[in-house]
Amino acid sequence: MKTHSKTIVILTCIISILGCGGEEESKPVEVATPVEVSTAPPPVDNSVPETTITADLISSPDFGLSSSNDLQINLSASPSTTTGYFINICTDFDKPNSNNYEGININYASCKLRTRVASTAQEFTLAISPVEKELIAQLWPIENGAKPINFYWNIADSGNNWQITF
Amino acid sequence: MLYSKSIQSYFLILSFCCLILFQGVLNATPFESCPSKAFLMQQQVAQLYGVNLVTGNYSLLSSDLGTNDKINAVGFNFHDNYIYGWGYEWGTLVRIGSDFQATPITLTDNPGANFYVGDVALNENSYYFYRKGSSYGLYKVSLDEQSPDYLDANKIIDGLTLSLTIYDFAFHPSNNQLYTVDKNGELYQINVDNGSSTSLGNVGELGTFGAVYFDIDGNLYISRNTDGYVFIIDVADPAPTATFFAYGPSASQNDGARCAIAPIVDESIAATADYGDAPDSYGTTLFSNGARHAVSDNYLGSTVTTEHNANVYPKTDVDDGIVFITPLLAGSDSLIQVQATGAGYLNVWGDWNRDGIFAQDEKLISDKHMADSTEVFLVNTPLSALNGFTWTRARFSSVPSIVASGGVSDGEVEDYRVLVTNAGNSQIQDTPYYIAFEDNWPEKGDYDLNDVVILQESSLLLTDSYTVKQIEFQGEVRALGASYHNGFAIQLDNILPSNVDTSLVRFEINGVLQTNSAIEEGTQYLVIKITDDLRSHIQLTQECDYYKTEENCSNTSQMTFSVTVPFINPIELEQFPEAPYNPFIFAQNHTYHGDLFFHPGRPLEIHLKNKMPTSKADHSLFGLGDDNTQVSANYLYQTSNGLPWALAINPGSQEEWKHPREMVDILQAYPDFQEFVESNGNKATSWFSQGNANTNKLY
Repeated sequence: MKTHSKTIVILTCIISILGCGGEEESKPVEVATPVEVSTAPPPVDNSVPETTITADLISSPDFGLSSSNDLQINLSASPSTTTGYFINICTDFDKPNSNNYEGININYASCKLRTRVASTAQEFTLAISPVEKELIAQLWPIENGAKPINFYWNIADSGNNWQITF
Repeated sequence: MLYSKSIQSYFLILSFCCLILFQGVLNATPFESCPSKAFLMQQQVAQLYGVNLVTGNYSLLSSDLGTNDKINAVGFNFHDNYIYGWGYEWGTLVRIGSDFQATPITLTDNPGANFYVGDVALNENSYYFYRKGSSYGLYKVSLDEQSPDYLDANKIIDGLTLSLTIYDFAFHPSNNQLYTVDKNGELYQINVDNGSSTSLGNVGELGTFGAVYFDIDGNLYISRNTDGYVFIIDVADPAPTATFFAYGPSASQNDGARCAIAPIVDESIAATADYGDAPDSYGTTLFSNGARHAVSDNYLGSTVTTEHNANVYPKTDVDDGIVFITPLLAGSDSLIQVQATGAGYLNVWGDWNRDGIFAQDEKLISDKHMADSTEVFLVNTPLSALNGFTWTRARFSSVPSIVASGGVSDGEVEDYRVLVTNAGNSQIQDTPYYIAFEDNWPEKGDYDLNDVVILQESSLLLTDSYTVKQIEFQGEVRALGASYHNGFAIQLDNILPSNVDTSLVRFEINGVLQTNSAIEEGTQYLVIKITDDLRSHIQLTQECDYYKTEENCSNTSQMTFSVTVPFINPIELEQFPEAPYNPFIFAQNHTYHGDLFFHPGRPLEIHLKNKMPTSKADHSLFGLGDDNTQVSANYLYQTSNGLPWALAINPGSQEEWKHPREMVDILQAYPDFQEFVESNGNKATSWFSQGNANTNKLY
């Protein structure tokens, strides 16, 4: 709530009026010379008038005005019983130009799921923004000098289900 | 008579030589200013170094001071910007100008020995030097040409009465007392008027402190010859202690000089040190003797930043050396990736008990040597590490075995906020939401949706049986376009507050642990109350009425928060509410919040559309003004047009949501909002993207 908004508008008007008066007093009055101007007819506006302020909108009383997409993740069981594996599923990464994901940069703060891969299959449901169309899953063996295996998902190809099989 | 003439001639020649010698002194150029760096004189043939006390970084200023012997007992003379010291080659006072050439000065009543303890006073233009023993003592030489005692060495006290095993002393910048620390760590104050000394206590460090300096704030710095460690002492402290400050150069022979009226950081020149950015309880700023490195050619990642002092969280630096591939798994192995440029030793600390400090034994990696490489390491986090976000600090330097604070002469420090979990746990991070409020409820506002804007992020920790054991909220105030005073809280619908393990709740604002609980008392369902008044956390700039909503009203003030809420009994995921949960603002008690009521206070709540009020909400306010809440139908906080007083906007992790400027209707800023609303969210689902916005309407 802006408690001063009306005051500001009134003050602005007063200042504008006073300002104009001051200008007229300090400058000689110039008489404008009439100029003939050829005027084109105003364009005909056939468009339907658009709602221009939010207050005019009508929203269904049930609609919560929020949006997100659910993505169902199915992880297969760990590929090894001797080496542990960890998986990160993230939204912010440098999309590779090819299927070579070597050296790909991931913003790990964008990871929606971070979990150790279990010995049995796992299921998760992730909520993502409607603008997030692509994700990366990066599988890491938990060992020194580890190198990741990357998996890639996009909504156009895979819809709202992602089966990640190792 | 002949003898007398010979003596007379001898003194004439001597005086002439002195005149020539001192003429040379007069011709030497003084230093341009009172430098922030300290001077360090070392080696058997004197060499002069410049030392940055902040980091311990030093560089050779001159290896040729025009002498083949030592120079000791040096002091910087604030009155003429020359360094004075004792030249062993000549057995007398020497003066050193900006050409770094020592010029001997003849003294009347020269004691006839060499001295290694000396300094120049600040409130008088005089040099003091000292040596213990009955044949010596404390002497004063006036350097003031107008003084009748000009260049006359006057003994103040003999070296038996003032018998201290010391190697340097320094003048305090304001009280004209000398201070020194002897080999046993005893701090002394010496009254130069009569040579009396007072023991101020033991500072807890032993050794030969060959270089001693003051800064303008009255902090005494002592440098130990054997290891080069620089300690800082607050001499005004009733129990003064030597705190490790920086790793400096070591030497068998050492003497220091410094212009005591200069701050130790010269902000008039480009910064040369890198600092961390963790909360200051971890030792981050220079005031807190924070971790800092002189920037060199070894660092973490591919870049290193420089600052005159630390940016403390929530302000941050660019850190790019460490990637925590996994969360830190308590009692188990985790993966981190480290990129090192240049060579050095890597040390990493973690605050496992989240007490706000890095204890010496809270280490993740110790002295791992790396050289121009990127490596993935297995690290082990102790089983006792508390679950939730904590701070870690990585330091990379050519100096091994460094501690988590203090200055180092090269390398870099990077601080990271990292999640600690148990090995079997999963972290689900909710998509970030921007919660944008109109605070004029129950009257319609101007729909600029910027009266309160909060970036709200949250994550769940799941057990291996998919139950929620902990939730963490992080947030940041992004805008306050309101003159009302609003509090902010988040309700977890249907979650009972009695299931919270209150002993492990952690609540921080701007990285500072809060003493008050974030769990609101007396509510039916769990309410996490961040603040009663958001405005109290924001410093408005003088010319602006609001926070980050008006054009040309930038503001560096920030308010961030984080709350970790562990549950006594983990909750089934299906029963747990979903993000964005139920964030709401409420009126601050005893403040004006519109004309429809008088100081409604906490019971006035404003929620997202159709989100339930808390048990503390005043239901009698429903239906007032433009509000068309129908509790029985679960139509809540909406107008008769179904319009809300708050929106939860979900732009994903790659884009920030920009709120409209002051008094700009959200529809003008985001025209697609209309289609989104009128299609019940089936169309224009990315209406909030900047690509769909009139960006000139956005803040």
